[in-house]
Amino acid sequence: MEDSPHAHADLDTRALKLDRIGPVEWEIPMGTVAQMKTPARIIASKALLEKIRTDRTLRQLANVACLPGIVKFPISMPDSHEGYGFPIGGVVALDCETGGISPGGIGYDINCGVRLIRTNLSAAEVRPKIKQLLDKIHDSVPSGVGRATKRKLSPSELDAVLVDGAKAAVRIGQGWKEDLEHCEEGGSLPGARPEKVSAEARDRGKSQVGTLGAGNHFLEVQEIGETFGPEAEAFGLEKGKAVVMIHCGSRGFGHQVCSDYLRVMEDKFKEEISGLPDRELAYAPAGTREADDYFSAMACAVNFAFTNRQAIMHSVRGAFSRVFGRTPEDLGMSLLYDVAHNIAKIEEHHARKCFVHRKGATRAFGPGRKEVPQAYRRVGQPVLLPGSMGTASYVLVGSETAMERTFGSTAHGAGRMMSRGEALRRHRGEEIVKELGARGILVRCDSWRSIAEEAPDCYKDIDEVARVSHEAGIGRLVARMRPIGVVKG
Amino acid sequence: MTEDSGFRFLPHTTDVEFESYGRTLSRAFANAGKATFASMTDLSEVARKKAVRVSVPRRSDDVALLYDFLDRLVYLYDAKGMFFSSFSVRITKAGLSAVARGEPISRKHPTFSLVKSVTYHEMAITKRAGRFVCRVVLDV
Repeated sequence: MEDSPHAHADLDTRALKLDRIGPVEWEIPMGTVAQMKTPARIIASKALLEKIRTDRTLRQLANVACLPGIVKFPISMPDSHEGYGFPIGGVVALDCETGGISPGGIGYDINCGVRLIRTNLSAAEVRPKIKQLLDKIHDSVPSGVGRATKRKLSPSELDAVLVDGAKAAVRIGQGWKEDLEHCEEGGSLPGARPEKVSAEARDRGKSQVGTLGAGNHFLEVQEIGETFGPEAEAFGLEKGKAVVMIHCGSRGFGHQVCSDYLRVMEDKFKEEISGLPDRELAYAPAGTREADDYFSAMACAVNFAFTNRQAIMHSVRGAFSRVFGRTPEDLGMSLLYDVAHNIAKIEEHHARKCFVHRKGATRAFGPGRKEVPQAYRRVGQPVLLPGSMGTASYVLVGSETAMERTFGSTAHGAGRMMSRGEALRRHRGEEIVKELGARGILVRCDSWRSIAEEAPDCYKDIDEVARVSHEAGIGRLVARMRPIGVVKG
Repeated sequence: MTEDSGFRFLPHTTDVEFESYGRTLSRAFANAGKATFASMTDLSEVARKKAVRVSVPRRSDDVALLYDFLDRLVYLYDAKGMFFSSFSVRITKAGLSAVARGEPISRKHPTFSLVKSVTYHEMAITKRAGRFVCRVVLDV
């Protein structure tokens, strides 16, 4: 592929020798990078691995295996691609005593994630009203560059968001109590301390709750095209029904938290970082004040993102209600689940307490775990895999295999594979909209350029990513959705 | 964009990457500011109506200074709703002081990528053919 600007002379990722340890599992052996403390693993089919080899993903994964306190091995998912320091689509567990926590292992958009809302409407009922629906949603959910809400949160309102997350939104009437039960962490990660967040992050965040942002974030009305296992029934998903997917994160707030703490760690732990192969691997050793402070600030950003998605869902329910002339309750608009893609959590795996960093990876806990909501505990945690604009999305279910092999994690979506510049050379926004229109997908976006940059062929094949997750047994297929209408930032 | 405009965008799979140039480090930093906003909008549409002072203390090397300078500009864009099209920069041992000129974001501005963060990824300051070259990846 022509888009690999970082073909590094020091490690030819295309020719790198990997050990095949399963039909869709590979290992980078120790010694590939001198300081590696463990091997590193990749879950991918041959086809996906070929794509992964075209950028620096494998080099970055090997670098991560150099971090102190690494538990078992770092793992990259079928949708992985090159990130900053850590690859995107990676799971890295660092021991809570001998390891540490790294902002780069979580990503700038802390708690970028997805939620899926059910409806009792059939796609056939939604289609005739899709334009009206997207217009209403677009009016009530600000999106795109420089678009904020009209009302700024007061300092105490913002504090409530940072400490309580989605609970804060539900408390002021933006949602139902049962929504919270269907969010990872109940929509509120404990340990958040607003005093650990900079004034700049607060400034950026105070008018961004309830906004979609831009880039790969989207809001989609989808049709359930296919269901696979018995879990579909447990999840209340029925072929032909309409659902709504919201994909966004902690906006400028989370980005500022990440960049503030990268700076703190870089200044404070010069010696530790100088021994690492990449500046973006900066971390705070476990037990230091900086590690605690970052965790507290990160938790604020996690809660900000949960609140953001909750507020957007509230607007979506309102839009449906106005268009269909029925209450959201009457339309059966309950939340299936809300998952984080970029987060660190303290979890116990293989009898060790660790900071599990998921960057572009989804928690996929199996049946019986107390973290899985009561309604799904018998079958396992719902996993939401968003596609890109105009492609399919999936619901998977977490598994025992994921607990054993991937720290209870699986993929997070399609994963970009074409540069924005190349996308702009190949596509025109107007044509993409026409093409998608011909396939029955309506797009609502203020920027033609943004549509061209996010064209469906810029991303890896989501069907293949979901299939490999299923084959590896780390997230099994439950439902495949196809879009009817898209709102892009 | 050509090298004559003071910066040039490079292909990058997921994000925006650019090089900015200058006969002095200050000039290369000013052009890095321009490139950051050129990735978001058409600079020729951004009037220089308002001047904002930016000062950044030096933490360590020039790379950290560049990171902090651009981070500050992203903050001003995202929190204060400003687009800037011109920069004058002064770099000393103590840090950087700059004046950014632009105007509040409005519907008249075409919008491209939304810059969310500056990153350290591949960030470098080098000298090439007598000019300073700043290399930056922006998270969009």
